[in-house]
Amino acid sequence: MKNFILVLLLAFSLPAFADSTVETAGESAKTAPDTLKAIQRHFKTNYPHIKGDAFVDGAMNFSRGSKQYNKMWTDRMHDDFDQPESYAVAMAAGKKLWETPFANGKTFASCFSNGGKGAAAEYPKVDASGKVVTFENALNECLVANNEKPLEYGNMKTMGAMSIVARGLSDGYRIKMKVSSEAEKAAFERGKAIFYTRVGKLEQACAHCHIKHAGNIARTEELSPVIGQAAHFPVFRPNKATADLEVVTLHKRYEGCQKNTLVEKPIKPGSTESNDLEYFHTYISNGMPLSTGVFRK
Amino acid sequence: MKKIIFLSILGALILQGCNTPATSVAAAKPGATPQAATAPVEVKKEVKPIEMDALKIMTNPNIGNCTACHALPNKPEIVAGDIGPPFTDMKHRFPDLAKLNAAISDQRALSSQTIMPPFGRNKILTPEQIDAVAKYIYQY
Repeated sequence: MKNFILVLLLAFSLPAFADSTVETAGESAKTAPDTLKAIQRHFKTNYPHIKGDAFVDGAMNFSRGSKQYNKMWTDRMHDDFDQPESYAVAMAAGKKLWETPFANGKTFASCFSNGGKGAAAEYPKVDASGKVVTFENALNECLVANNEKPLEYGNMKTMGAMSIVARGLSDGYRIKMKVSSEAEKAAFERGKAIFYTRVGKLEQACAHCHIKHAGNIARTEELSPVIGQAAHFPVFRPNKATADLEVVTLHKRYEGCQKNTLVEKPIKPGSTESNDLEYFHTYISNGMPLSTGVFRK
Repeated sequence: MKKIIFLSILGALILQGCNTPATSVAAAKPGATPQAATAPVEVKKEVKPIEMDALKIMTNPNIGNCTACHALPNKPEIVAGDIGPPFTDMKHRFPDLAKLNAAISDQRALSSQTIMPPFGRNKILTPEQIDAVAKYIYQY
């Protein structure tokens, strides 16, 4: 009788065990610094040629083709005659949003020290209530504090363009996050759990593609390493339908990744989950220089 | 005590059985109009024919997308990834075709750490589609 109950209990609990494991570098590490070290060790062992800031170049570290394709679009972005329309439109829209004074006469620059220079490198952080505050949250807080309407986090024409220009003021500043308080540790763990948990009908975790299989090819593209990713968003990405580029913020990319793994309700830009994931994700790029508005496929 | 534990487990099992499709419940209700309840749903859903061409199932990103991870060395013109092993030497690797079917259906049951999606268990492909794909790659 006892054995029978044990077998039944085991049968019920087995699926729960099976779902929680990805067995990828960093998953079993207990603290934030140990997680980062384990992930860095993984890439040092498997891809010793990628060193330091080169991680920000993502998949370009894995193939010449990827590098050449990137160079082609980057050259076009900075060529006055051959510039993709969407690039010019987004940069102009972002600049206008950043510079145009509010109804009260103040501008975004008044909300940040140093006129916004280096401000993005101070985010994400954890507030007194334990919630993660991203740079985009701070932009919206600035709007609300000046009696303006906040921007929609999922709108790439407003928030996306705005983020590219505002974050661009911090290009070259390095990510220097510290996870030391209890609230920060809790936020890190929440983000980490999202990163290592299998989701969607495909039952894949972020860690599968961007740690375990980073450097492998999925259809035509090398999968980029998790280190460096958070440093270069928002990006300009090719859009198949328009044959042009589109702005994609980090949160928009999270949503896209989750759609690809057939998640029924993908995490939305600006959601608590996306913020928590950004907190973990940015910490893994600690030490990397911010490089906003670059081309990434 | 033993009885209580046994009964509670039995209860849980019975409750699991209660998860019957809502449509059958609605149809069984006296006075309910099944046509009115089901008609708008049918209009909304555009029924696409289920793709049965193995190569199309394997290469279409919205169907099986097998080639995103597995190469087909006998069809080098198909752009493919390298996350999983290439489709070659299949008869040697899977002497039993049924085992190949099982692997496509739920590779995680065989190797829990795999990145390979459970195409059958999560109903990404129909059993017939899985059969077609298994038979197709079995020739290589």
